[in-house]
Amino acid sequence: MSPIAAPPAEAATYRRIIRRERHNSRSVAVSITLALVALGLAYVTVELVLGALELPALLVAPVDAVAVLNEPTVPVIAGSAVAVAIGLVLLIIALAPGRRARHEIPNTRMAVVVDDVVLAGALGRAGRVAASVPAQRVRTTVTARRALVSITPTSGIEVDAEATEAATSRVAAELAAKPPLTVSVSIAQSGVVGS
Amino acid sequence: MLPGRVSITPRALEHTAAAIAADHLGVDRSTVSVRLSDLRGQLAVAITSPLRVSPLGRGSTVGMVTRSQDAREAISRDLTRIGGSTVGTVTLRVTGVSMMESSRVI
Repeated sequence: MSPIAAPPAEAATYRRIIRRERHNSRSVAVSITLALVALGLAYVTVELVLGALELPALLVAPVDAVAVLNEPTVPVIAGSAVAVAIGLVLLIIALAPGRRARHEIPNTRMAVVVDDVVLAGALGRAGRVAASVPAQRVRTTVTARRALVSITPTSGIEVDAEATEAATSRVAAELAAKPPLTVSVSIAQSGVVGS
Repeated sequence: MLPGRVSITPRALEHTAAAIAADHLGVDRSTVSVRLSDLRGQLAVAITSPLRVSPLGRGSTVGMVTRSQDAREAISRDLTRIGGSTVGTVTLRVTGVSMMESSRVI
């Protein structure tokens, strides 16, 4: 067995796994929505059957319901507004990318997914060493495509912004996270005495 | 470069600054108090200290203000050299004078 690259079938599996790990699942929203829709439809069916058999309605007879909908009252309008709001939320859940704060690290033998916090740690560490400041003066934020390393310098000791940017960019290049990260370094105007 | 880093605590920097100031003002180290703060990334040094002057008619005839100015510059220079940090401002507040003891030279 050669340890070089995963066979095509496995590669496809890894791609799928990575996609699943990097995106939120919509199954919870789907399950809840479908359960509610099913309950609602079951109730309407029961009311229609009771109406057809001319038996007393559970809550509202279909004839009365249609009459109220034709001349909407305030509670009906409010209920409709709520329904529209729920619909919008579901639409957003459906259409939004639903990305989680994770990146893929390409690897030929495994599917590797890393939390952005871990990437931030690695970049922050490189920045800290290059800028020669204590760890608590480096703050790193990693988003889908960029990383920002903010450094508070020590008073009277200039931080080499270019070297820091080079060092952090080098680490980002080594990690080769997907989607790629553009690193920028920002150095605070005011420093802190001593280190 | 060797991995690792040097850290100098604010306290150590303040003591260094106080020692340098005492040296340049010609007074005892314990009478000097120093506060360090940050000014746009540079070190701002605030010194409260007495100043040593020669009795009238003897020794140096340089005025207090001139001596203080010289001391401020010397303190800034030495602190940058010894403490390794760029000094932005040095504020000197003279709270008294200490007379030079007349030594029997001459």
